[in-house]
Amino acid sequence: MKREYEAPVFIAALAVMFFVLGATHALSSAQAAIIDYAVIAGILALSLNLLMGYAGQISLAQASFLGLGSFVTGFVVSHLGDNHGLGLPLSLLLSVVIGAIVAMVVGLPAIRLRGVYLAIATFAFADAFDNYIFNIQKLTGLGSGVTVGRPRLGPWHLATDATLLSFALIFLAIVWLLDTRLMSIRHGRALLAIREDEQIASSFGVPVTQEKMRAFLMCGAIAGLAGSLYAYQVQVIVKSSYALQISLFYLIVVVVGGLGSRYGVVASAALFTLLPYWFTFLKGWDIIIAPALLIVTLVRNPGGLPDHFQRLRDARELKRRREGEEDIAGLRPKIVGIERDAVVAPADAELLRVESISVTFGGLNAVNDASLEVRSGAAVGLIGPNGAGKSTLFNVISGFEQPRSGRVFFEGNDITTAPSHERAALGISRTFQHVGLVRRATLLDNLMLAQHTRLDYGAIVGLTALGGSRRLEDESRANALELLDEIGLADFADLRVEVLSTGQQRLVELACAVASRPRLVLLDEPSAGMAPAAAEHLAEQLARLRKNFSTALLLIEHHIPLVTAVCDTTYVLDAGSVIASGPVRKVIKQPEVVTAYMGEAV
Amino acid sequence: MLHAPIQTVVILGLAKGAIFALMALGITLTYRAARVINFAQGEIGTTAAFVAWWLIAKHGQPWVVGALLALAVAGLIGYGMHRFIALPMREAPRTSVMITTLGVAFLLFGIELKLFGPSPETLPTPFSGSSWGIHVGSFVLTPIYITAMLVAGAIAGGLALLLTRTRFGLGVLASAQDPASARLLGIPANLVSAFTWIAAALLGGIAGLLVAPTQGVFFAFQMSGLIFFRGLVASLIGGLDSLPGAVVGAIVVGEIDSFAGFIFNRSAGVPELVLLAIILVVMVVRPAGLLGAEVAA
Repeated sequence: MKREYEAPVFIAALAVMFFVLGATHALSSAQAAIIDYAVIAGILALSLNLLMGYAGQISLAQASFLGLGSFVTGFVVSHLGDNHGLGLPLSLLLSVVIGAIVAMVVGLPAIRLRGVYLAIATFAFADAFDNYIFNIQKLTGLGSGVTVGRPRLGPWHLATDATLLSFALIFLAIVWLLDTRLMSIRHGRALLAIREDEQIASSFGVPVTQEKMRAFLMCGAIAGLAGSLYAYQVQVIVKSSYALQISLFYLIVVVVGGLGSRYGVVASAALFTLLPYWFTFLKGWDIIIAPALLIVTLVRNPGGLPDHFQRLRDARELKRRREGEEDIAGLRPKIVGIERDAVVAPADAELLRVESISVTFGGLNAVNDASLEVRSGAAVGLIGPNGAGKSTLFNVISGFEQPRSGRVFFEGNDITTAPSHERAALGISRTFQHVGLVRRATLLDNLMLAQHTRLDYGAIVGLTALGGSRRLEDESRANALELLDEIGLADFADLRVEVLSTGQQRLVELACAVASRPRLVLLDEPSAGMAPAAAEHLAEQLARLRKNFSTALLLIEHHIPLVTAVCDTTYVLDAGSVIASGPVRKVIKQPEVVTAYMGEAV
Repeated sequence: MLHAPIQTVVILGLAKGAIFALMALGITLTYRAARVINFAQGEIGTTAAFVAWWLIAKHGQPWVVGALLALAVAGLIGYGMHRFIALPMREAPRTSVMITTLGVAFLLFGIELKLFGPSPETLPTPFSGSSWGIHVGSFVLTPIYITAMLVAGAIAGGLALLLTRTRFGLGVLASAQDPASARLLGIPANLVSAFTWIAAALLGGIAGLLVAPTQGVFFAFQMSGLIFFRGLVASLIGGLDSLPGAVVGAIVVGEIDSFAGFIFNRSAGVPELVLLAIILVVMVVRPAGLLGAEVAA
């Protein structure tokens, strides 16, 4: 059995077991109801885990989504009634859909802002729901609440608590399965990248806004489902069950269970529901114990426990697997050692043209009327003293910075205003001065992320593993492993990037930069932070990389011998302006270039 | 349509704004120093109200004694947050610190329920028995509102003097921009952090003590929704890192609250809806608020 099916099948088996136990009256109605609450809490925990644990967004409005699901269900039941067994599927569907839509609306501020601001915005939504939406008499019945009868599913009457429990468990199994699938497809990896750094994510070609909205959508859909199931279980729904405190409590419970860990968050939510019922002396203490645990956990491990343990495990594994090997930094990495079928490129055609770009930061000219050109397959240097505007120009080319004036053309198309993830898809990849990898994801995930734009299946297709998405994933995985093998790091494919040395991370970054078979790679000081031994091989690697992937290079570098070895021509940038260009050896002897680097001769 | 003369609405708005300003100043102070929203600040207010109620209403202590001990508890909580959260989490991601303060808010909520129970309680005003008040139209501005305005004004003024006229205060302001420059002024970072968290807790406590008597009853978690949220909006309007901005924001929020409350019925939750709209507009149009520095990209 594939591993991703293990937990869902186990949960489904529990559903069957509780159904039988309920039918034979071995399980009391009261017990079944309590366990059902725990299951629903587990589903809600998964919804919050998806948003916070995977995508790194924060929601203080989770109980509002839950309440929405409940009251939509209440509305359907009280207005349409059972309707020949249609009431149940209709109410579930509407709860899911409306939960998804509202969560997207709540998530809108997340397009621009995160962290503190997102917390404030979702807090405000929760407060508005609490005081306004849930105060609408027709929707919530205010103090008296809304009565929801036990539903009918086709010919069956889900009258007993045990049948409802089994019903909810099936949904838990489905959500769990989809959640597992999500984290094995490109959309899940995109979330991990967004959690870490949105700029890095979009340099990999991830459409950040769209993926963030999808995370809110999925989060709201699952929470709406939980709300609907809750309504059927509790039978009388009152607004106080969905107050702000409840949102906070679930957030706390999920963090205590461990953000990012399905088992952790579901177990934590289930236990905090069950234990106070089973051990009455705990009543009232649960809401003291949970936050106390949260404080202790986060003060000691700000990233949460799963993160902490994963880091420890990976560091240990790294050490173990390196035993008997010579120093890894001294290994001769053989990136691009393998001959590849070259992408057929029109020889010596114009690839990138930057025309009169100017960028200002608060009155300061960072880049001043700079123009440059890179022809296909060429290797071009971009040198100049610190603060000359080289990285800013890179940011303009890759779409992280909007120029005040000027245009950028790629293969003849004006891309000046195209978002950065679209440029990645067009074939411009880049590295960063500070390593631009998702440090809390594995090497394999990073290399597969780098192929994000080449895996063009949709989320539904990926979640259901249809339409050849598995085949595409397998291909991308094979390609990733091959590249890792070429840089000599295949043994560490399943470890997190953060446990590697900076030199090794640089190699992974290079591998990522070519994984998507780009037409142009922008390299921002690739030798920075590398051990001298590794840096020595860099020129050779870059030359082979250029040949074997038939990609053009634009290289920012302070280490002039590297530029000389790799590049045919170079541009020199000083105080935002191009002061020289031409063959490297000639250019670096020009007096104005020497002056820019060394200062005015006295 | 307004259900009261306009000057009544405006003055009530100012009185509310004064209390929100206390909250907003604490929020802004913490945000400047630690880049964190202290979500526990409102609940520290509720806790202070409970402690004061327990001493004054249940044990017949004089108001001043109850209030001072309540503030001592608030200050202690603030110190605890500095010592056991802010200090060890200096290097932690800011979101983690923020979630930890949510944990503190909830912990206080849980403790309040355990110690004082879920039922609403009444904190008497320090002026009970006096029917004195300033008549504004049909509305009587009771002493508690006047006190709130005076206290808030005095604290805002005192804080402004402390921060701009003393060496220590300048160190606090400087450390928000650059911890190193505060050290150069001879102000240890630890001291700045302790001051910030204790001051924020005390501001929360004072706001709680001033609000509880005006509400008729108060209950666990009330201040987190009622005044902390409004303080948060005020601070956001001001730009999160501007102290004058926080005061201006608080007055804006106080007036909105007052007008929305009089135009629509309070119970309908319209003020919350308006505040939500304001938050969204500020975030979309100008995250730096009215007086804040540019939001770091």
